[in-house]
Amino acid sequence: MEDKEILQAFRVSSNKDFAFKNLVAEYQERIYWHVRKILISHDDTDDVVQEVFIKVYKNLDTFREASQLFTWIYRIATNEALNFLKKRQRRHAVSMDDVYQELENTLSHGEHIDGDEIQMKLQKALLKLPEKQRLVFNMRYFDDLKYDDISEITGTSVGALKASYHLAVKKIEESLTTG
Amino acid sequence: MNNNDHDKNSLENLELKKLPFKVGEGYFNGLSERISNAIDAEESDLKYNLHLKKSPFVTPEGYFDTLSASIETKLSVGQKELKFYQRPLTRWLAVAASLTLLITIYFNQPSSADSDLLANVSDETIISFLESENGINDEFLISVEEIDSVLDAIYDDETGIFVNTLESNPELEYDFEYFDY
Repeated sequence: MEDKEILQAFRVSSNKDFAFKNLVAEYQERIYWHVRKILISHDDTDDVVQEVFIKVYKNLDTFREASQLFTWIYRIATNEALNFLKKRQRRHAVSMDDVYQELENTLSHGEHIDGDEIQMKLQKALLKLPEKQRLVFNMRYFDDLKYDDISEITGTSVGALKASYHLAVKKIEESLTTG
Repeated sequence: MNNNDHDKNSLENLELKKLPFKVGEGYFNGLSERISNAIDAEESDLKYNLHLKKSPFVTPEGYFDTLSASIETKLSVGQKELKFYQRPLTRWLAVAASLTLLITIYFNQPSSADSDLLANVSDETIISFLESENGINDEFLISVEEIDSVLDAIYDDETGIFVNTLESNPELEYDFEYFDY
């Protein structure tokens, strides 16, 4: 089902659930992997992904189609994932560095992780990046999103995104070759 | 030096504003592309290493087969049932408990005679008593059912304005600070 059809169907109350089922089927994996790369833990990701789709369901009526549906959902997912980390930081009264240290521990010892040495090294290098560079790198490198789409998701200019990505690449290559 | 030479050497001579440098024809037309190519070349190790692009993360078996159902369940539960802290009875109990606590504290305040008695107790004894009291309170708090929901409610109260704004306007911009390297 195309995005347009999903949106049209969702606006008819008798088709709402059918349309939403299709939307979840269409986007669940992309959104899951996007959030998973931010939160590392499967359980945390599961919680946040469910929350993302609940928000999508509750707000889809107000979606004005000023952006593409997938960038809109990505935007909600990104906000939810980052807010999840910030909430954890506040709840435990720790610094964001501590939160990222916890993510690294999950990466090293958590469940549902099965990468070889170099893949793990890349993920650890990513955790050392500033939050925004890490986000841009994930979306560009792993998800192959266009800068224009990342710009819609993050509300940042394409030029600034290119600069962020370029810096991230340089830092990661350095980590991979030296560390 | 005649007047003509003076005018030529003055910074007010607009001819001086013209740069003596030249660029090849069409240089600026292809600049953006050349920068992109240079970036691609620099990141080539990463870009063309398909092994690195593979995620080390996995999901439990059949996870995506059940995700949709889990979301639907949560949606239907959320629509039918209020959260613990939103239930009217819970709210009344919380108010009643707070009032009871305030009344208890009011009627149990130490009199001046009690304070005099405390003066005879060593500081170490008082500190160890208070520490043991705190321990009991912590244990009590941990034992309270759904304490997470209560803490979430407090957190939501603190940040409710922002969360509600975002919920009703999910297209609002997230505060990304990309130049904060």
